[in-house]
Amino acid sequence: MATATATEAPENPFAQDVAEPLPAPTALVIFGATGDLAARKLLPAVYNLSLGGLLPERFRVIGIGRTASDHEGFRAHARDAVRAHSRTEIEPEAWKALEGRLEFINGDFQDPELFKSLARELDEGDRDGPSQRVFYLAVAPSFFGPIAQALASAGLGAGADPPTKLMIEKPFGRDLDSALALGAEVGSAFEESQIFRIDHYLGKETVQNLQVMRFANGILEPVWNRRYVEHVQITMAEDIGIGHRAAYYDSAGALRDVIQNHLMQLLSLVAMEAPVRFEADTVRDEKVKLLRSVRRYASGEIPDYVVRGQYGSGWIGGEAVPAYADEEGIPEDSRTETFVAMRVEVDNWRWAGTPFYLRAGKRLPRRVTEIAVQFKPVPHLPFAQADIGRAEPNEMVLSVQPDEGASLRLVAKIPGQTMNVRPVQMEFKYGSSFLGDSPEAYERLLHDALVGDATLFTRADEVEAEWRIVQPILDAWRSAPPPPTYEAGSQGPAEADRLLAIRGRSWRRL
Amino acid sequence: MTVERSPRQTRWSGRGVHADELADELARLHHGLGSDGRAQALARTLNLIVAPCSDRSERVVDRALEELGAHTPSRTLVLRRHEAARLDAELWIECEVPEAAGLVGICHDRVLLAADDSRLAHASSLVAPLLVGDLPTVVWLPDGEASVPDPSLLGRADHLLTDSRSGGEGRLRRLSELAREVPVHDLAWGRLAFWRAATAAAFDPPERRSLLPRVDRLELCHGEDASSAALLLAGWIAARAAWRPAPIERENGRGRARITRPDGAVVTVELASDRSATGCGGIEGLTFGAGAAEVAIERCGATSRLRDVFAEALRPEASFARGYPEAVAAAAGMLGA
Repeated sequence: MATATATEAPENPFAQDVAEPLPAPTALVIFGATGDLAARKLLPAVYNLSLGGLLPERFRVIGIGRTASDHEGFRAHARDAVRAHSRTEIEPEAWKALEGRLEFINGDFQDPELFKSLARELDEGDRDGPSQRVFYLAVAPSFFGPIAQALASAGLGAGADPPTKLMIEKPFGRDLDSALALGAEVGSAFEESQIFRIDHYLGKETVQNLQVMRFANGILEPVWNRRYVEHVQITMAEDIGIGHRAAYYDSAGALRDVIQNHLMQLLSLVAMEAPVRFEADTVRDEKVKLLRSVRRYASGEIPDYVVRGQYGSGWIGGEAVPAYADEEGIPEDSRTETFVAMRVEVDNWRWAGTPFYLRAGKRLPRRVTEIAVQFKPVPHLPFAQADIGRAEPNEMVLSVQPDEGASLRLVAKIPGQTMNVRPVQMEFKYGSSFLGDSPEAYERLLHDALVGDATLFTRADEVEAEWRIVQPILDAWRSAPPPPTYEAGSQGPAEADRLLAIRGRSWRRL
Repeated sequence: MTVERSPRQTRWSGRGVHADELADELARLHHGLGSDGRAQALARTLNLIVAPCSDRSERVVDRALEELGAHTPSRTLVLRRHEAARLDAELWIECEVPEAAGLVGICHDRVLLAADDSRLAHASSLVAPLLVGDLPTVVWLPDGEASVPDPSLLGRADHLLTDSRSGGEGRLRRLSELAREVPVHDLAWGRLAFWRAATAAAFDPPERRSLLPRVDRLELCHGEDASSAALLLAGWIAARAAWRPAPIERENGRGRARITRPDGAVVTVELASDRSATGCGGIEGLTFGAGAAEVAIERCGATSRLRDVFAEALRPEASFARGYPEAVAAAAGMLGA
């Protein structure tokens, strides 16, 4: 048993009144600091955290890349990035304070010398005391393993003192085997507790609110199960095509790009059991438990449960758009899917027999990400006389984007002499119910990583469980006919409707 | 009585009215929403009662309420003082006009009640019929100096909103009394959030915590108009470090107090005013000294502008005022008699 000694430091009396503690002194090292992700998301997030007083007094950013020449070049690049992409204007004084904390090392990620000079640079920066080192790999996934290994070789991995953290962003592998191999490679260099895997969807307010909605509202829990929920639809629709991501997207497809990660995360949050506490491992334990209870289909079952498609030409927003196969950089005979719809069965006591329908696609009529929980109809409608109008079942819709919010569909009487009813929506939108801007997902996630809160990050066993669900589908598709095409701007391939075409179910119209 | 209607605003005004008839007029205005074919919905997330204030503060209030309507639609009840022995009222419904077909405009309402002192002394009975049930109620004192016109208003408040920075140091004494009755959300306190977090972070390492019982001086540099904010921060530090406050003595823009540590030793607190200070909350920096050792906390580019402190202070979260009653009581103790 630990005993207090005379030399033990007293409690910090100031900590009790602080709602948002500042992170420990930090050196944030961004690999790929002059790339697109850093410019659009990371550097603006750092600036806004600084502006909001959420960074420690001893904080610096070391950018690593190959296109900026020196500190000044990187600072100019960072200023342009913040000006172009930050949700707030640049304030000269605030920028001046941050600018001096930005440094740059020009180097090749494959050169071991880079990591030695980085280690020296980090040590030199610790003159006023040790600071944690956070390595953000804003680079292609093929570099994750080698950089993690090189950092460990330089003494900056597992067991490092001062402590280190590694931040990486999906994709974590392109199938189960490569995900396991990546996990092993990164895991041999860093402890799991040091690794922060980003799925930026988890940084969105509505996604976080899902748990609050479910576990802080007593009226929902009793009906959140197979007895009352008819089915659940989780949709991530985009109206855009593949943009400039042809090479990546054609090698990935919708299943790997969003179903394996974003939609599986949403599924686990909607369906998981209540965690004992809202802490990183208790929450993630429940998510993993849920993912492991998702039924894995045998090869012959896949066509009955999973539908894919590829967009053809069509019209979006009044503009003619080309077919996927005609997009620049895409082979004419590409078999890559741009649309996936699947029926997920969760084999546990809460959800057995209640299907979850997942749908994701590009070139659909509009951009929307939502979770729709359709409740069962009332067992008996006591309004005997024939036609009273549309008495549709209750439905709760949680919108993730573009308008974050929630709505509940109820049936109400239309005012008048006769008993006519129609569905009405009870709706709340974040923009009209809460003041102020929400922080960007990356601000939230970066701050969480700096303070060591891993709740909104994906653990290795989650990634593995997600891949174990989609791997049989990838295997089955290898020998399947090419995906059917659907017209750009349509609701997706007609085959997707078949998945729901029982008991009058249909997809929510996009 | 007159009614004016436009897509953005519907307004009703009346002189010599009774409070209970205003609720009916409001209901009539609500029913009129959407009568021009636009889809408009009334939304309210809190009752906000604004206490009477000076002309200068009225402009600040009007500006804040305009922004508030767009983000947090509220039942806003603005109390104003006039000489005539009657109650005059104006009711507004303000809407964001939907930008496109299919969108719903969010509307909120505002009630202005102008009354003489005798009626304002019973302001609680004026606003009672107009409060929306089941919503948090906030009483806003826009003037630092002003007092609550009717003390029973506090009984209706979930919390009190004010800004001690606008009222001078003397305001802290009154707020220390109010904080015993009702949670006080002081905007000045919200602006000091960075400094509280930075102070907590500075004393997080064990070797720094060991230093705290030996601190013998605290220096705070603040802007010229932020001496009360500096006092509030010093009060918080004193309260949390269990120092016993003593009155501040002023000389040449500097304030100095000799306060007592739990072991009986003296801590010299110095508040220095700096015309060029632009740090968040009006504070430029603070330094703890313990013999030759120093812990200096700088602002590092943080501003209070990114945080919408007004928005944070309106919310009913108890975390906003955590530590405030102790801080403002200690600050009041440093004001002297």
